[in-house]
Amino acid sequence: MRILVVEDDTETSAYISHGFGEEGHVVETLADGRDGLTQAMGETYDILVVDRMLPGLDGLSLVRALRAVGNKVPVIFLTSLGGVDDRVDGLNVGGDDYLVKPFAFSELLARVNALARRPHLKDAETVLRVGDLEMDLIARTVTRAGDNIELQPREFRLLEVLMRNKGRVLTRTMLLERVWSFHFEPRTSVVETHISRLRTKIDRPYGHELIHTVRGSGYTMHDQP
Amino acid sequence: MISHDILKRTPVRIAAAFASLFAVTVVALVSVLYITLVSELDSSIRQHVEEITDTLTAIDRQQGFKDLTAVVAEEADSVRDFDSIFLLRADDGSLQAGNVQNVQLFTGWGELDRAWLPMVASKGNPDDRFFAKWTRVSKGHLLVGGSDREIREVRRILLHGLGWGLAATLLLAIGSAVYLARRAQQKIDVFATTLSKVSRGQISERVPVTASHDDLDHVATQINATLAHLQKLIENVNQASSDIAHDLKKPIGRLRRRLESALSSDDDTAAFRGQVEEALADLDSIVETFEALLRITQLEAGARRSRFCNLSLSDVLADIADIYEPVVEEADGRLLTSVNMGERTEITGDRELLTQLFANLIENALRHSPVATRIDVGLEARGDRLVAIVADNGPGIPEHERDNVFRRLYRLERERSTPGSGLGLSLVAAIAELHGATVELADNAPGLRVEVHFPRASG
Repeated sequence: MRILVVEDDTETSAYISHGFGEEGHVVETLADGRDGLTQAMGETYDILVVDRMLPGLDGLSLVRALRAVGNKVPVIFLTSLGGVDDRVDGLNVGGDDYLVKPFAFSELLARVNALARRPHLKDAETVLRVGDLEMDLIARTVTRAGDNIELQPREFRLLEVLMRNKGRVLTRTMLLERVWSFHFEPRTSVVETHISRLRTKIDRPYGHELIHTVRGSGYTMHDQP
Repeated sequence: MISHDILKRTPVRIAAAFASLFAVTVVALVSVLYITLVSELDSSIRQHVEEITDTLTAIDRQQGFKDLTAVVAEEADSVRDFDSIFLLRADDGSLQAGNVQNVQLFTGWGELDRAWLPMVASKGNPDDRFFAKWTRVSKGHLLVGGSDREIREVRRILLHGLGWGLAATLLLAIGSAVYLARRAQQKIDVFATTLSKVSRGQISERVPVTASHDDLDHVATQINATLAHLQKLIENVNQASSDIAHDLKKPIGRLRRRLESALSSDDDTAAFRGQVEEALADLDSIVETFEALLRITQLEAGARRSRFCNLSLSDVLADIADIYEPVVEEADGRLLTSVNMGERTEITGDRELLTQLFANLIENALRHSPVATRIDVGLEARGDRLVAIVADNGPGIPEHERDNVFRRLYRLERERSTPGSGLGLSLVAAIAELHGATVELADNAPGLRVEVHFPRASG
């Protein structure tokens, strides 16, 4: 993947580009907002990582300008602590995701992966499959190995998010945001509990696990042994 | 500083303006009075002269010139104080009778000065003027005139009154100006001293409010409200910073010790990794505390209210109860929901923040209560308010502590040893306040009952 990082803090920038480098991605870093805009308009990237506060041109204006000329490259905003409104502002100008500093690299990586390889689901695709597990989005039914599995609406939503991101890691925070619309860190094991309930229904009776825990990172779904 | 230049004080200026206004009014009043009286007197004097003239000509007509001469002579003699003049002249120019001499013939009304009139008698006031008129009689001319003495008298009295009136007005104006100025100045001086005390750090000083409820008292009330708000803010900031210093010292110290012992765990890679992972977890919780603190600060500053929209409170509560039910069950507890709301439960708010508010309350109940907790989540309509309830059967909060738990980083003594930032309820309070809601803590006998009173959405 070709990633452009626009971030004026050299340490953060080095941390990110080192991390992506290890994952085998090509990273370019810029510290100035205006340079970032020129570069993003001139070249083709798979994803942009943009800090909110930048010299030259702030992150929001950069993305607004990009969107104004029809550039649809996925953008992740980085922002400093405590901005109650920052996330909404970022999404309003056309950002795709948002991450508060300081963050674990695994979190950024998971979000970049989720964005960059977002498959363009064909409209016709109404059935999601992982191994022998099937989810019918129209009939809202779930079957595994031919058995009908009853799920609560929220369990269905959790499974849908996991299945749509088949093979990709979803962090706890991403699940909290996407399944329960929690934009804060709960102090109890909300994610773990719901995952465990889901596992009881779709994994445990079949002996072969489809939901996998990625240590220190989050969860993923695949049917590789 | 307050200027002590007397002319610059507002009450003095107002008093001066009022004094001038009063003076002008008095002068105008007296002038109108004078003009009216003088013209009235003027015409009554002339009328009097005409009446006498008419009587005398009647005598001339009916009884002849000779009788007229006799009557005029008699009248002229009988004039006291010299308030009338008479002169009867025959056609040959000879003086027949009268108390003045040598007055030229003129037509119409004439005004004759006493000083210029050759008088038969030297009686009378030398300042007198006479309104006089010549009339043709059978064998000569008759002059009759009346004195303007009354007019002058009226003028004298009015001028006199005007003088006293003006003097009294000015005296009153100056007196009240001094009184008002002194009174206002005293209050303003108190404001000034109080405010300068405040600026020197005595933030608890207040301006006295008198019972007179005048404009300065309104200002005083405003000043006091501002000072109280400032004091609360300053206390909050002080409280928060000392709490931060206090409560973060511990986890930061722990983090430091962990990193040190990681450094010294020479070649045991597994132990080293373990230490570093724990250090990261410590760091995350420190960051979380900061994040929560900043969030509270921003919420208290009123951030985000612009994103409010109408939403159903029962939906929010049902959702959150739904999410937490398995979590509570996992901890061998029970979460019971009684959110049956047929009626409208619309409020104006931010769904994300409200979700966080109730999540915090439920998590609080869960964490502070023993196993087998029973948590009740409910929604009731009470008048124009919607009351969301989260109640548990845990240890509750002692009554004297109930106000304190909303303070940032405050933690009950018995919880010092358990993990937690002590920010949960302050965040709840901040979110509630942003929504115009009030949070009330009560005894659930046993346990804690938290009620959040929301105003219904308008319209």
